[in-house]
Order: sequence, then C-alpha cells, then structure tokens
Amino acid sequence: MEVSPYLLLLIPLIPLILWVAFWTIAYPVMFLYGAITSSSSKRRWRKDVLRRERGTMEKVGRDTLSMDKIRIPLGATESEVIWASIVIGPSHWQQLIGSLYNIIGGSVDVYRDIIAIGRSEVLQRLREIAEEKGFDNVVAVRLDTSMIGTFRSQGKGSKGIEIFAYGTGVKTEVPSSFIVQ
Amino acid sequence: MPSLVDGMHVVNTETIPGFVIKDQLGVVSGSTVRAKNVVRDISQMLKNIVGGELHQYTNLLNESRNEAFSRMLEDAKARGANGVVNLRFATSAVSPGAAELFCYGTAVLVE
Repeated sequence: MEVSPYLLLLIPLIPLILWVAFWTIAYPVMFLYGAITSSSSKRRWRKDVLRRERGTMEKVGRDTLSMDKIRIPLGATESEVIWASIVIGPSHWQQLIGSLYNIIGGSVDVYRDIIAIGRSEVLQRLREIAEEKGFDNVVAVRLDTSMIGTFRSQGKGSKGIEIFAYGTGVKTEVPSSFIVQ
Repeated sequence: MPSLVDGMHVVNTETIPGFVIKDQLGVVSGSTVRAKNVVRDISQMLKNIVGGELHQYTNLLNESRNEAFSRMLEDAKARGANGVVNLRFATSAVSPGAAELFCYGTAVLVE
C-alpha cells in the first residue's frame, strides 16, 4: 500500500484537528449535557446529603458537630483535630448564568445552591470521619471557603470552589453532657 | 489525614481535654504551595464543563494539606513540644494554578 506523501503533511495538523473536533463537537455536547442535567443532579446530590445526614442523626440521636470551643464535653479522654474538604466545580452552564447575573445584579442562586449543598456535604463528611475514628463530639468546627484554579472570565482552565471544614474530635466517657470550664 | 502522630496532641481548641498545659513554646507553622499538573487539569477541565465535584482537586488539596500539617508538626517537635493548640488553616490562591495551604498553631508542652 502506498501512502501519499501529502498525508504525511497532515501529521503535524493532528493536534489542531483534535482541538477543532473538541470545540465543535464534544464541547457543545458536554455543555448541553451539563445544562440539562445540572438541576436534576443538584437535586439528587441534595437528597443524598439529606439522607446521609438523617442516617447519622438517627444513629447518634443528635448532631455531633458544635462550634463551641469553650465548653468541652465532660470526661473527655482523647482529642484530635480532624478535617474534610470538597472542591466543587460549577458547570459551564451555571457559570454562564452566573456571569449574566453580573450584568443585572441580584442574588446569584445557581452558585448559592451548589455552595450551600457543598457545605452540608463537607459537614456530613466531617461527621462521618468522626464516626469512623470513634469520636462522639466534634467541637470548635470552622468552615473555610476559597477559590481554586484560574478565575478568568472566559472559561480557560477550571474553576473550583473549595470548602473546607475542620474541628476537634473528642472521645468522651459520658457523652452529651457538658461542663463549663 | 494523619492520626495522632508520635504522641503529638493537635487540637483547634484552647485546651486539650484531659491534659494540663505546662509551657507555651510559640507559634509554629507549616505551609506548602502546590501547582496542579497538566494531566489532572485536562481531566478536571472536562469535568468542569459538566459540573460536579472535582475529585482530583479534592485529593490534591488533601495531600498538600497533609504536607503543610506535617511540616508544622516537625517545627513543633524541633521546639520540644508535644502538642499544638488553637490550630488554624488558611488557603490562598497565590497565582492562577497554584494554591498556598498554610496551617499554624501554638506549640505547647502538655502533661
């Protein structure tokens, strides 16, 4: 079989062809997929977090997390700092909606929703880690939100919102009774 | 997430339950600046179009945070401390593509 020498000229063009194919075919499909599924996947995620929260609540009978740092549970035997984090990327559809809000102003609900769900997800992860390590209380919980990645207006690179929670896990002999130190 | 490392007591409260703070040895800190790598970034860029959790970045930041944390512990150990109280974390994006993870606390001697 004889390969035409002109075909060899195409080899340097392969990255370009892939690039064009990505932006003309793959990107619109993914963008539309994100646009169509974003609200339903958000709903599914929220439901999942709520289910897990309820599961932990039923098991323990109360919320293990507390922001209290002055009151340490009575009879604490062991303590250690624990943390959990999540990086959420708003879909390009949500970013587009968000940037439209920049023009007219007002509350940007698309971002608010995913950040709110992400925050409850992270707190739930903290509860799960505490349960795994055998801590029955987590005191002095702190939440931290930061931006990760490139934040240019045009979608180059990825945008991520990191939500980070940490606290001190405490093991107690007599759970759910507090003293003021 | 590291567990109790070599008997170091690390908490983000003022006191360590069940222990008495004997001495205060100053502020210790540890930090790390991490850049994302190209392969991870491409896969996460694709994930970003659709939206959702960026697992690779979650893992990357966790690793980096562990590094900052262990650097802080080394600092505390070098001062002869066996505990760190009032631990705080801070994150800042120093350049597009790199994030600084920083943690600091008060090194103490507990009994």
